[in-house]
Amino acid sequence: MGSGDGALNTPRWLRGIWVIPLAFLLVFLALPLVVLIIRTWSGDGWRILANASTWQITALATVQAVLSTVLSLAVGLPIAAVVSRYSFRGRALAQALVTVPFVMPTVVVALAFRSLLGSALPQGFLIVVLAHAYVNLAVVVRIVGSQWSQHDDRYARVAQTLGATPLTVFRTVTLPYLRSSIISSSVVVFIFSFTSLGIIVLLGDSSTRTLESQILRRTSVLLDFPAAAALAVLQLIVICIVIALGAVASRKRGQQKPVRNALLSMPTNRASRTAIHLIAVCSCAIVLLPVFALLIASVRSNSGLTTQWWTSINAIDSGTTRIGSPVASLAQSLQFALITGIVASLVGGCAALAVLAHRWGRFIALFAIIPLGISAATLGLGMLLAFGRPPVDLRASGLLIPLAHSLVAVPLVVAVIAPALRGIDPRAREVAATLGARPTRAFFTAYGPTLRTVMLAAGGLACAVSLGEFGAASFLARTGAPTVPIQIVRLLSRPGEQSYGVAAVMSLILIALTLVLVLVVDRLGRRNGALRPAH
Amino acid sequence: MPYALRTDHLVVGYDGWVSTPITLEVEPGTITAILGPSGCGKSTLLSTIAGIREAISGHVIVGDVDVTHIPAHERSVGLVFQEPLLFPNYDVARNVGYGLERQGVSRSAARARALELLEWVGLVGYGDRSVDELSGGQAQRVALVRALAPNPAILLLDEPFSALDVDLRQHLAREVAELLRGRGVAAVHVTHDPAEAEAIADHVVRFADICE
Repeated sequence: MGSGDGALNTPRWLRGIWVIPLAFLLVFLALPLVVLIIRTWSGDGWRILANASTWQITALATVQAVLSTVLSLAVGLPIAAVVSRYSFRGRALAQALVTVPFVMPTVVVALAFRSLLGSALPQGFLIVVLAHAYVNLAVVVRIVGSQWSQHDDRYARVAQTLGATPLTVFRTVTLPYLRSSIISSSVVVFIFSFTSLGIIVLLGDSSTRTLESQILRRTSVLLDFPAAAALAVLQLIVICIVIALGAVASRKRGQQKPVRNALLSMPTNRASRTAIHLIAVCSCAIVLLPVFALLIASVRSNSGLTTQWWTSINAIDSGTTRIGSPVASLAQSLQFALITGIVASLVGGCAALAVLAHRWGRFIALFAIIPLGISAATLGLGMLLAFGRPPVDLRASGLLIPLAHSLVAVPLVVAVIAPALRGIDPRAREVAATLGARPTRAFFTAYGPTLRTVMLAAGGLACAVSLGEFGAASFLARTGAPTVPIQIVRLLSRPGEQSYGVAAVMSLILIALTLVLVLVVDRLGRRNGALRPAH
Repeated sequence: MPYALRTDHLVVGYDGWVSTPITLEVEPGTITAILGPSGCGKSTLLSTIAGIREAISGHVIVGDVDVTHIPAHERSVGLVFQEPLLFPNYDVARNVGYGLERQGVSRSAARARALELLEWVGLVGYGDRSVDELSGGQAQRVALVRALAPNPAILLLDEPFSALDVDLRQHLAREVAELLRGRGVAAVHVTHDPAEAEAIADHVVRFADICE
């Protein structure tokens, strides 16, 4: 039953811990997906695949996602080249700032872009692509930058001495080295853009419909569940194809040996130094401009500056049963976030622990990462079909949204906890055992301190995910108890500057809450050394 | 007749460290070994001669051309590091022909020339192999012929044998010395090992002696 190393020392409860994540994933991931597929199969949902508009939407969403990916790479690669390679004052700040868009809820990003560019750019294709590139900047910078930061610069120097110009060096030496990380980040950005919902709802028009937005429309407007399920399955197939293509394209070939701490000192010539500083400053400006636009929107009315939107967040819509006040939705979101934090850190933590204790643990951890590749709408719709109505109606219990959020957060929790646990020397447990500690005591002596820290950090990350999640919640939210992102979308669907101003205020509150959580995660991570949130 | 390489009061630096002016003269077809302890600035000197680092002041003259402000890819200065640093995305022959392709030689012609050079260092039949299939000594031989393929005016060797075991190091040092003399290539070889310096070089100078 053991992993092979010190199985006799493994506490009995730990050997069986894999049951918890497996049961959770079977019930809340596999079952909804099976229900979704059965619903598609048994209904006449497939007829929507014969509809030309379905394929037109798929093609348009593909073009949109490809362009969003190309733009993310075009902006992200120079930033990664600077913030992850050169040592300069303010580098850590620039690196942290670039992560901000990724942790911002997508509806908040959409509103920020509308505040920044709304008067210059109409809703539609271009602003959607720009917003997607903004959100996914961190994906490119983090994934490519982490590989670039370990690039042995001497390969490039050798190529230079062999007569290669800087451009040829990049093409023949640097690019092949970065190939796998560029492909990985491209796959992630493509999937995020292809399955985008919040940004599409707030910034899109008929040219930017995604399968995700069509699933929502079929479910909540047309009440055509079989067709929605068929679209969800189609989307799942496209995602699987993209992931498979990515895996084939990034197959390991010969790789330059990476080096640790390969930060380069600043070049001595002034032009290069200026270019590096300029890119760093521009990256900060790109990240902060939409947030500033949001800040201005929260204090501006037609008659000038005002604090009215800030003071009216408890008054607007209070007493109406249909929507509820913004403050009530904030309380609702915080409650969901707390439940998500607890459930996701427990389930993800157990999945990560299963890797240590059971030979099948790795498969459980792999299973727990699957929700990352499934769109929020697919998860939401599956859960709605499986648990959203009699005989099993969890919607009334208020648990369905935090459970869906937990599914979305579990992969990140596993990605945070598993490497931290792997970094612990297993011999510490054996030493404790030889000193007379019983298996459970020996386990907690070795793993307890790190486990406590990473569980807290992962819980915080799960809370942040829940606070900003829009896709699944939009399927599962009940009318009177929306989450903050849903409340923001509802406010924006109404005319009037008050709705807009209050939506901006709520967006800023959401950004502040998310940032606090991410900073706490980062602080805990630094304390633990091995821990880094997986963005 | 001009020197193959001359540094004229060259000041080099790295991360706040700055050398005193360095004057070095290498005659055509000869091998000069620079001896000095690790961290004394030998590698920084080679990087500056190769054009990878900018000189703080002074001049680098290759043949009769002042290359101080010419970028590395236009200098015709070859460089071999301690590790072979072969490009893993290319096979062995493409690695050797890399510099020739940069000179505008077609890929097939560069490959044919690369195979000749590989034969010259005893690596017949290795052209199509992945660089991962080479042993440490074979990889360093490939790195050497890769640097020689574009016919550099001077070759810089930055402790190229120090990662190899003792027997192989001495054997390869002798072999490389023969190869360079056979082709009449001038070279600068830096090392912290006096025995290796004596084995390979026509002239041995201590790093401290070339600094003013």
